[in-house]
Amino acid sequence: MAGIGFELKRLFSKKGLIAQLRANVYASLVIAGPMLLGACLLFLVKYIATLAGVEATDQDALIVMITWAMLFSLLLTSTFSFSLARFISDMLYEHTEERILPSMYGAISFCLVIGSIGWGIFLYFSGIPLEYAIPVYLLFCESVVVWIQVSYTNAVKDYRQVMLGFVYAIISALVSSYVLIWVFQLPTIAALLVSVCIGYAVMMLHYTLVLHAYFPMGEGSALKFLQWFGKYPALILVGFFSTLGLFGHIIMMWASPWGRVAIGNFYHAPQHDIPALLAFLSILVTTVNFVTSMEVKFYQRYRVYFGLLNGGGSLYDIEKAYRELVTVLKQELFYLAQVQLFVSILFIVIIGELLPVLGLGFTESMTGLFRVLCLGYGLYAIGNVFMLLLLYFADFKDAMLVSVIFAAANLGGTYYVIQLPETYYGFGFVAAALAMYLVGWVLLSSFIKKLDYHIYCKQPVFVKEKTRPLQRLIDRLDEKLMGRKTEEA
Amino acid sequence: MRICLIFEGSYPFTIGGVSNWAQGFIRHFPDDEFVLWTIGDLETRRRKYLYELPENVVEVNEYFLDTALKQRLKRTANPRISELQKEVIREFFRCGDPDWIALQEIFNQKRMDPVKFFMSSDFLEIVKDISREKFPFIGFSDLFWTVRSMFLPLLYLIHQPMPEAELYHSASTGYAGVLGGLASQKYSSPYVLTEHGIYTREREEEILRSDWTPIHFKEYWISMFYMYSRFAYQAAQKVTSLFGGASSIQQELGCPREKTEVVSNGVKLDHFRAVPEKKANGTIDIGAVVRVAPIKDLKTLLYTFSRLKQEIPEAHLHILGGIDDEDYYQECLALIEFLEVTDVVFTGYVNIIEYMARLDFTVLTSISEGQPLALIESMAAKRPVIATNVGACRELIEGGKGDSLGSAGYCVPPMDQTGLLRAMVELCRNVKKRERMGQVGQTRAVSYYQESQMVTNYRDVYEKAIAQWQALDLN
Repeated sequence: MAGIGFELKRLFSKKGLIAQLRANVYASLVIAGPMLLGACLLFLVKYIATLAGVEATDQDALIVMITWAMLFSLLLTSTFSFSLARFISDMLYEHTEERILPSMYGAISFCLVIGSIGWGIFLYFSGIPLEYAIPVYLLFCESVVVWIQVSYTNAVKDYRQVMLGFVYAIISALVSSYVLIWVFQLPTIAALLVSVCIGYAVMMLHYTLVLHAYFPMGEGSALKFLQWFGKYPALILVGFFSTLGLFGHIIMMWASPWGRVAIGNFYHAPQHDIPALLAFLSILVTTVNFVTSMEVKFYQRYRVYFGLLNGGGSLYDIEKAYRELVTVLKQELFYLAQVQLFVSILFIVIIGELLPVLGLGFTESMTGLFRVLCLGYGLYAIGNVFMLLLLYFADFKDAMLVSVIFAAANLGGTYYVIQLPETYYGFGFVAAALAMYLVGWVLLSSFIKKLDYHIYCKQPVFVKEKTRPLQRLIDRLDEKLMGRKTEEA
Repeated sequence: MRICLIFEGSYPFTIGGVSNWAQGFIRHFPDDEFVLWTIGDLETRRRKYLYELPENVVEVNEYFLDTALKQRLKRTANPRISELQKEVIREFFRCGDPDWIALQEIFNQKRMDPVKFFMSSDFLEIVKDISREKFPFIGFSDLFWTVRSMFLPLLYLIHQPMPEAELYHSASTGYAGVLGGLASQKYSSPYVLTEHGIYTREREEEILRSDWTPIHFKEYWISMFYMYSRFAYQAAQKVTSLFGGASSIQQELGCPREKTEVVSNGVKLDHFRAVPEKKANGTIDIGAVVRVAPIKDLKTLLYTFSRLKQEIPEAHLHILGGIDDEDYYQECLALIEFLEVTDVVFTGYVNIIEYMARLDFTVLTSISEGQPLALIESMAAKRPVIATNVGACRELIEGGKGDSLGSAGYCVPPMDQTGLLRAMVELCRNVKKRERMGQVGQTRAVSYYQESQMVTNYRDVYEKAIAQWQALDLN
């Protein structure tokens, strides 16, 4: 009996524990970019509409239709963005770049099938005229494609190209709206919708070119990434719930006493929407800080630590690296929170004072709500960082818990405050963000405290490869495709 | 009596010396009930026995080491362990001298699930301690996985139910030896240990040769098996071996001298005793009763035989036995062709008793043996033997303590072609010597290596073990 003792699989060396975890985090940054783009586009469209002499109610309808298309496409795609990012980085790590492009088209098709049907049904019953419905339908589909493409460009960390895409979109929307409205004299609202569609189409084209320049032409099944959904189901839930938490209160407020019909079945609550959008901008500082400071300094320590774990570091070295990692993590979190606190106070006090004066139609209750939401977003910014760090350490379970608590608290809390007088509006979200912050903090610190335990002991003593029918089907499909490719070659 | 026989990697799943012994052994105690406690490597062997179990086998407990890896984790939490218990486990992982009874209590069936324990922070802390103590400069992750791999099998086995019996008898040290010792304590029954080879040494050689053990952990692995053997020697009331040499090694490895006992394997000799003398046919027929495998070192035999052929052209070589290793067989055929030697036949499996009538004497060139049956059978058939000095061969040929019968042939160093050649030439040329040595061999085989003798000897060992146990119990 060959040595009767056997060697257990060395999971560490095989899987390369760290490499990919970082990429999980980039996926979340995808949300900040599109939100900014969305905000810019909305202000631009509103401005052009005013110039073209569109009435206020029609302006609202226009803005709301665009918002809905973007919001729901974002909600759909960000559900999968964490798993997709994981898939991409796994492929990059394994040097199977040829699998990346097919997976992008696979993911786009997958989301388009789900999204376009759902969105089509909604539009059919929405009661808006066909000349609006068609561009709004297109806009939704384009957004789906663009959001997925953005997560692919993010995965290779080319933020410049992402930003360039945004700039091209805005310029082309601007130019085409001028041409359509003032040269061809088309009806303004339809023309503006079409312009936005053109802007997105240009952005889509730009990303397609960029990505094709990055990655080799594909090979294998476009649906291979679906296996990653099965491999890391928690990532799907993290994606869905964290996005739902972020937008849940906005959607629910449409059903509050402040909610109104903009057009057809398109609701909005401008008294809430606009303060929420502006308050959201206050978190950008943490997003930027996370990428530029925290991520950079912390990642160095993180890499050293995991490098020692994987690469045969002695216990002494590992423990030393651990202490340094914890020190840097604490420092950076403290710094991040400090800056966010400062910016939030700035927003609450100074911008809060300025808003009524700026002529955006801010009432006193809207200003109050803005201040409340600034507090909420400030807490969310740091709570979100806790969640991202949990993902960094592959603690998917806790990250999922944080995102679920956040979403549930936001939906529940907002539902509750809608029943209360208006002065309480916004506190549902604050409660949710606070919950996210506290739960995230507790889970992260307890995880870090026993970091080596979580890394070592959660490694199963024996690895079981789970195969589900769907997974097997994809594998077979994949083998066939790969087989055909080699035959052709 | 209800006797529990404990096997590791042998009976009834693989064919070989220990398994053959076991099959015969059980048959020779028809009045006793036997409980088998067998440890195999692969779950796929379950219920696939290569032997027909004798009727007095009343119970079979099969455990497979790979099952340890396939278990589902129980949902129930493991109990907390005290500092004292941690120290027991730490000493176990150190390969020192742990309190085995305490270890068994920690991991017994109803308590700690070892797989779960291996995923606990207590485990991590203990591995860290081991790292600081023993491996401060070696990669910690490697140590972590090594400790998991090394100790899971035994802890898994301890965690399984233990069959109850009036006497435990294991056919090796190692896992089987630890289980024997623990069960003996648990059910207050005596424990007898029989070693056919020296388990610790075999494992040691295997680990030193292996490429799956990282070099800086080889010593650690080896010390684990030493620890297991130490415990088996301590726990057993009687420790038997097949020949005096093996017994001395056991004592070197920590077995108290007074426990050791030499009990040779017995063979059914009647048929061999009845083999007639060879009729002169003008050739000298030399037999090698071996399966074709590298450990039998047939190449040395073939080289030597080709040299013998130059001096004794009428010599013929008969290799009697199945082909165990096809590659090695092909190599042997190629060697025969290269040496241009004639009169060598590979007979495959044959009836040795019938074939023996055609042989003048036999040779055995193995590089490792326990107590080779082929030698005893040849001796019983009055055929002198030439064998390498491995295992019990010297004792068989020249006699052990208190045996002044003389030589039944020649004992030469392994792989020594010249020595082997000299012995073969001598036996080919000297008919008188052949006859005399054949006679010595038969007398020795009949006096010391009869089956009935073995049964009596083991009975005796059992009785001594029981008596000692009772004496211990009284104290």
